[in-house]
Amino acid sequence: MLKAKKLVLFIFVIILLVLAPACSSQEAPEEIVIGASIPISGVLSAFGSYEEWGYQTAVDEINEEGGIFLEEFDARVPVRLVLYDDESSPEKVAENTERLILQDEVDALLGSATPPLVISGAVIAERENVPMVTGIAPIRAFLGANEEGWNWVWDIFFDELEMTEQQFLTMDQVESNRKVALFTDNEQDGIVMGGLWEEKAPQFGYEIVYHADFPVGTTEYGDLIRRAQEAEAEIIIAQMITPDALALWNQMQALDYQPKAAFFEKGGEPVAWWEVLGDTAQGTMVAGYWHPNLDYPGAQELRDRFEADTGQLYSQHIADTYTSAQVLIDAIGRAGSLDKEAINSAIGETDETYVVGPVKFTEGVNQRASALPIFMLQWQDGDLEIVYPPELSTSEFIYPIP
Amino acid sequence: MTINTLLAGALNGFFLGGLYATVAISLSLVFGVMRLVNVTHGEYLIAAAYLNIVITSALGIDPLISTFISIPILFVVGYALQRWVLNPVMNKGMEPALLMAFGLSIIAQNGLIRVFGGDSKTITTQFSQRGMEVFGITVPTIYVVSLFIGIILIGGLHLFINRSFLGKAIRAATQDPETAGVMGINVNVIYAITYAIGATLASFGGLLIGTAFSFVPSTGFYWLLKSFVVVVLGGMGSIVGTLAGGLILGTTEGIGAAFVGTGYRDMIGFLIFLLMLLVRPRGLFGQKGSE
Repeated sequence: MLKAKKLVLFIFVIILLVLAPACSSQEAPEEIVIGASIPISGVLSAFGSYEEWGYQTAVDEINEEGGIFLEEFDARVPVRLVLYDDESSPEKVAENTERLILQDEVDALLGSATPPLVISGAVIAERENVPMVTGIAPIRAFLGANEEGWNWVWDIFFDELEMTEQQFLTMDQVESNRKVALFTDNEQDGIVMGGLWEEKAPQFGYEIVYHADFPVGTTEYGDLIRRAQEAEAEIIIAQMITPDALALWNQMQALDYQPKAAFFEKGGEPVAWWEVLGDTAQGTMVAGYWHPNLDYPGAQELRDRFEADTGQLYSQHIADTYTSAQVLIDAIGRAGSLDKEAINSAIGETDETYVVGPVKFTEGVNQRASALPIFMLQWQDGDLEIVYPPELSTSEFIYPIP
Repeated sequence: MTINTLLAGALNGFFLGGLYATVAISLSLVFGVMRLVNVTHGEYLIAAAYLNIVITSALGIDPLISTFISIPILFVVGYALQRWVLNPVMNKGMEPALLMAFGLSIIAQNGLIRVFGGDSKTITTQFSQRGMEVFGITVPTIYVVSLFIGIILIGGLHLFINRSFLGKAIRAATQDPETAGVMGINVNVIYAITYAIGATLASFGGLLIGTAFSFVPSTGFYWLLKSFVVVVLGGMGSIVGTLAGGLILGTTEGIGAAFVGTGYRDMIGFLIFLLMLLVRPRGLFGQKGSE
């Protein structure tokens, strides 16, 4: 009898031991690790400072709420953001991204800035099956870098084709001889944009009379400027990094080349453009996808917070980087676990208007990119104002360039 | 391509060559005296440009005047680095000094990032965005100013090395350090003074780079390479050769860019560099054995 009782007790204990872990919830991880390689130094560092703020602010916000709620563990788990400086070098981005995946064991990644850097990290994320959300990579340059299509990397930025069309429509507001000179560097976006401008110009009644292409880091543009002058181009469009763009614009002034309209994509966007050039930057333009006056939730507040935190003038990159981090955080929350495939699927299901605008990948090109609505910005007295299309404009269009 | 474009390219390049020479003079001096390939040269140039901006904004003065204020600061820093950091490894062969200089270069670059951030900067002077007509062709005024500064600095340095007592001591230390030491010349002090003079010359190079172009903390490497080409062309260690090297490089780049495009400008410079190394390794004005 005693033996039987002992046997029953033994079986009961065994059953308890087996069932106990299944009955209670799994122990939640101590943290969710999100990593990013960003250009804190080097020629693209102007982007890195905005990225650092955007990513960190979104992570700090969710941590103030206790972290991301993961249904699998029935608990909120704080997020740790790991950032490494890629020194504006694609090779360093690849190295950092491998380090983030292999050493820091990140659960998900955020992107760097500009196509060469973003793509360099994206290739590693794709290979290692780690979800990544990025901004600051024009969509066609991003998609064109992987002919087989991205599976793990998601881009929230503008579509170059739409930007091209907006530029030509903006040019229509300027009285000119409709002759355009292009200055494009040999980065991925420079190549893509150069091709698009050449292709689209005739459709809008413009003639590309000169196209200068050159390596990144070129310092002397005298010869190119003279050729544009000789070709009588009254409009210039440049796609180049900020240090190079500054040199080009300074040398244009020195050589007395005064185009009636000037678009400086990428290089003319960071606040350093105005800080360095001052009044001579007045009237220069750059395509935009975000402005604090837009009717997106928290747009003006985001600008105010950035300027209060840093004491610097805002850039539109605070919005797409902040949003990229939010999209990733929301997706992890929807996935309810740290399973990478679940997070990746959840990113794809994003359908919400964030501070940067509507984000929906299923309607985007190739379903891995969400294109933001685009408009034209113009530097006016140290601030970027929307000047086209008219229904969005925040200021009068200044033309020709003073 | 019109003949005017070609002439403009040549003239533009010629004046730009003055900037190249000014930028390279410090590298040439240090190599000529110490046989040290000073890889911190680029960081000196960029640090000088940043220092110029700091002094200009702090005192509200013209960047040209700031340059003269930065000279003693750079002299002291250069002297201290050579005297107490580089000199101790100089007698252990070329490699330790080169590696030490590499280390200093990395530290300096990271220090600049830490202090000034990574945003692009330029130095705004009255010449920054002005052009002037030379033989009917408009060239940036800063290039013309650069050539004048280059001629004055190189001429002055040439006279200093050949005529002054200190210059003769430097030459003695260059030609035969051991005998110079026996004759009572403190070679370590001479090396430190030479390096410090090089650092002060970099203040002019930094001013010109910052005014003509833009810069970030990592820009120094580009100018180090450019300076190498100038020094090799003109003759390693030859002060006057540096001016010739700069002008040849600038002019050839200008003509080459007019022919084949600005995208190949740097490639043209390095082709000449390789050609010179093959044909005349000691450069145009270099003495036999300097290679």
